[in-house]
Amino acid sequence: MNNLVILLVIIPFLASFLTLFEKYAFGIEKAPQTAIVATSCCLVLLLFLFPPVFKGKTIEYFLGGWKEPVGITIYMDGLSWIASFIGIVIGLVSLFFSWGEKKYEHKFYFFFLILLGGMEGAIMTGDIFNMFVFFEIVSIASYILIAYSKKTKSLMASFNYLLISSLGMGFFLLGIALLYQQTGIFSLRGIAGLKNQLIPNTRILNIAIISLVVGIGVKAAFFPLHTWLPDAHAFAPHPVSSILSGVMIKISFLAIWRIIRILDTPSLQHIFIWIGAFTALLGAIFAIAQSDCKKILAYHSISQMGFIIAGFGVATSFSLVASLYHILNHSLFKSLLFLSVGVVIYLTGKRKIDELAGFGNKIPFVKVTFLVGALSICGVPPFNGYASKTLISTSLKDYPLAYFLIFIASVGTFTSFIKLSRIFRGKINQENTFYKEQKNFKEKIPKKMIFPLFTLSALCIITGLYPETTTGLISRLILNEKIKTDLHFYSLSNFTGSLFSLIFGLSFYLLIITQKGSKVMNFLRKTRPTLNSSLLLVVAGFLLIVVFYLLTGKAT
Amino acid sequence: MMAFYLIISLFLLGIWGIVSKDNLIKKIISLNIFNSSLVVLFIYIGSRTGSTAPIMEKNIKNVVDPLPQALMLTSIVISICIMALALSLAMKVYKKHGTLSISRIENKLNKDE
Repeated sequence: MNNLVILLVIIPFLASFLTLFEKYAFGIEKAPQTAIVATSCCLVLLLFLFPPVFKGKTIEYFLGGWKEPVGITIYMDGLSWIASFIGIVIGLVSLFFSWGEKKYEHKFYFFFLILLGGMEGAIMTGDIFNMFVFFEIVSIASYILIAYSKKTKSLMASFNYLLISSLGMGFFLLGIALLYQQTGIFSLRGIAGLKNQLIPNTRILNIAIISLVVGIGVKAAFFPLHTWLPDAHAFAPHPVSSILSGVMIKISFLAIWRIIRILDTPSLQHIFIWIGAFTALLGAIFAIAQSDCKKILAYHSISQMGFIIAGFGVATSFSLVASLYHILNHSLFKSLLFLSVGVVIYLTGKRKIDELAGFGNKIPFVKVTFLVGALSICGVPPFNGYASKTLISTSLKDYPLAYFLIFIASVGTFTSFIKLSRIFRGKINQENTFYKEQKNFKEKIPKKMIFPLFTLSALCIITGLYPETTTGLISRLILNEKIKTDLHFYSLSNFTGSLFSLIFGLSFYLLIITQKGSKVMNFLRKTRPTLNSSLLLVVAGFLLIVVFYLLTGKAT
Repeated sequence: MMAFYLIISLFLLGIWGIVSKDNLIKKIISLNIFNSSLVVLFIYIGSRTGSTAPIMEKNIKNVVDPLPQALMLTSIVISICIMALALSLAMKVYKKHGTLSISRIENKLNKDE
């Protein structure tokens, strides 16, 4: 049983080499099939591991037989189970989509599988240096996948991401150095055990933890480390955007979660309420201003990460479950949205909303799946976004300012999705001859692209219709207990909250399509940080959190 | 203690180079300086326990801590991979734009929108 855990990391890596080997040794062009079979194997394995993990058992595997604190432990507990599950499900549907798109060679699947295996490893490892190595594997694979199309914008997006992320990983390495200097071990649980003996040096230890958090925080994309994300996610190939937005930023955040929870630093955890609330607001505001349809979705990834991070910051068992529930939901509906918009771009080759307006009426199936995703992200009952957003705002009741910011962010979500849904409503721009020449768009969509859309929208509806069951499962997995909720998901007061954000969102939309409103939006679209200033923001963000921590640390 | 200050100045030099240089290649070189400073920092932390090489023969005392040295091999390999990738990306960018200056490339991209 224990040996099965390591297979989750090994299978994707072996399969990735198989995709290259079968091409170059035998000339077989079956890379997508190989990748899908390998990922399905991982899914079966994961489902097989579910019963013991659900009973609260932590399955451990010691690499090379060396036990902690010397050796590296790979362990599977509730948190890593959920993270691996999200990763493999989204990975599987994205692979199906890319198989249908038929644009990619075997090299694409090679890097895709390496990305998948790296993410599995990063969340399951218990050793901090091993985590660094896995994160670098993930980053290198993602740099290459973002630049895969070799267009100018994706090349620059990949280069920006490379520099910003490498700077962040440097901070991560600095954090490891400080921790090693203080404790002499690399195992996270070992450090947590020693922490109580090191009372005089707690401050250095905490600065080390902050640099770890900032290091991975670049990948988790919270304010002010988010600047690379919109370009990178918007200009990547569609299945890659889906897995980056759906899984990678969450895996990085869950690694921060693991570090903070194991090393038990509550005062640091509380900073995340404010970081999360500001991130949610900022992402939503910039999302409204965009005119590129994938960029809107990319900014919304930042905004929704803000919701998740704010929920994590409250640090009650209720809010932790809410946050993890939103992680699950967001990865489902954001992948669904990216893939639905991906189908539209695949068929037309255009990305601007104005050019695409009304086109979606020709492809009713994609229209429905997009609607499911959009209603989920806006938090309309009975879709899954509604349930988790309600939980997060309920847990933020004690922090009125953060509650207010989150509310405005959900209003902004409504506004920008009313804007984005122009693709799927209204009349087609008749001046565009492109749509007249080509007909039968409906038959042009490959079946392999329809399957992932169908699966994801079904999952969105299921997790939305049974919120009690899903939250019950999550709380059993991560807290090993059942949380008591006297919350009725479908009550009148929660409905009115959702209705209010709809009304505000609609009126705000009417405001931005006026002449003055669109001027402001144009200004917002053009103000985006240059590479140098976003690099500076990473350094400033690190210093800011350290100063903030030292100031608040003295007060408590 | 002198070594420690030198490592810190190397670290800050790397950050300064990454943040302020306009040329892509210079940015990549600064990134390498930054990574190297961290490698030296690890070696410095390991060297505080002793000064002899950790080869376990008879009567060997004052050995350095071998663990950071072993880990830094991994870290160096990773930073070389990143360097190679960054340089190849820079080359591709140069072929498209004909310049390595980040401000000019960004101006060009902003005009396209």
